[in-house]
Amino acid sequence: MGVLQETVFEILHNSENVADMIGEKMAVNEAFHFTIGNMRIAVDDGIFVSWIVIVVLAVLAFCLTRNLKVTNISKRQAAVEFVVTKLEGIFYNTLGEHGKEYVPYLTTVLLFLGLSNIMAVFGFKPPTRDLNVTIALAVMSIVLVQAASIRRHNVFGWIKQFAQPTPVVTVFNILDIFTRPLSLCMRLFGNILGAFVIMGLLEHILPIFLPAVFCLYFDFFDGLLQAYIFTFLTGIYIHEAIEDPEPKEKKVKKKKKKAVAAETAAVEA
Amino acid sequence: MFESINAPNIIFTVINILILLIAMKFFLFKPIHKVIAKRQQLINDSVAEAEAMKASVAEMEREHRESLAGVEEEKAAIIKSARDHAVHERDKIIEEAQEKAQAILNEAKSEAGLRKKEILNQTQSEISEIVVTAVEKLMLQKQAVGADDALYDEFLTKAGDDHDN
Repeated sequence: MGVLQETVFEILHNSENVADMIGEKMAVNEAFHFTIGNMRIAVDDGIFVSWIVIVVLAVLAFCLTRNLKVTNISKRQAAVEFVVTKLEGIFYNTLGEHGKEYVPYLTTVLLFLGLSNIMAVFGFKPPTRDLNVTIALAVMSIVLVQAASIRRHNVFGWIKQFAQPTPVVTVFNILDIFTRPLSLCMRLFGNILGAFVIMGLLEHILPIFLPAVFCLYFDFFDGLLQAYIFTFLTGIYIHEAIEDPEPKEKKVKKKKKKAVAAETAAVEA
Repeated sequence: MFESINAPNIIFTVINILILLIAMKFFLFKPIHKVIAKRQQLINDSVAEAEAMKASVAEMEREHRESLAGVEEEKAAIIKSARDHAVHERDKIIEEAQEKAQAILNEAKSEAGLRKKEILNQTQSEISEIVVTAVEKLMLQKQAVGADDALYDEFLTKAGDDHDN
């Protein structure tokens, strides 16, 4: 306790150091740069780490799916099949039959975010701590949502959907196109950056015991939870976009009613 | 913080994710789905085979039952036929036995009659002999001592009574 108190006092007295440390943790550094013509393109460290994540995932996927058997499967194959089917199952349940073609994308993003969010454990800066990564993911998600809606209901149906359930909410529905990706991106970015900064502070206070304990929550639990929330919300948005619109049902009902009335009239005649 | 946002990095990330998606589809989802589909097909085939086998077994059982019912009927017919045959044989044996017994009885009766006749004839001849012998003796006595006519008549009467019997 004495050590902790002393450390806290030391941090408070050296607030400038803490501010520097937090600033350093939050800063996005350039990993490397290249030039195309006169344009200098800098690649951030977050992007660079995301490449590592992608390579690791691709290599793991490649290695784990060698020599797959139909019967007498190995424990490795059983584990891989279990994980993949369970992850896909989450999104199958959310999206339904019409949205099954979006399951691989959501599963891939879940795996990418899951590994990205726990990269701090391996000594890397999590890519999701970089706003560029979360913006890109959020934009992709929302483009996918709108594309799914257009694919399911055509352009006219998609435009018409903005006036659902009542035309009064049209403005809010249009605003949703911007607020949804913003909330997705900021939630993920804020959580991961916050966890990264807190872990940095804890490491600064007591580098031996404390980070190991809090790492379970801030890196593993929060990281995986945010990956799940991001993909789950995207799944829900896609499901909302591809579900059958109400007016169609009403029209069908009206048509049915008309058909029934016509039949009754014919019988009576 | 927001000054770090730049379009190239966003585009890089989008490209990265798309590359990862392709890699995962090719290396992870496709092989796993393929092997699961194959296994599903194997299970479906096994189930279909088991269903066919079950139907075949049911058919065999039905045939077996039918044949068993036929065997029961056949068995009952055989037993009935055997019983009828046995009854017929028994009646025949009894009839034959009765006929034989009757024949033996008749034979015995006729033999007894013959025997009786024979004995009677023999007795008659013996009596005749005795009478002749007695007469001879009497004749001899009469010749010798003087015969008693009364005694002679009495003897003849007795001999005649015996003969009648």
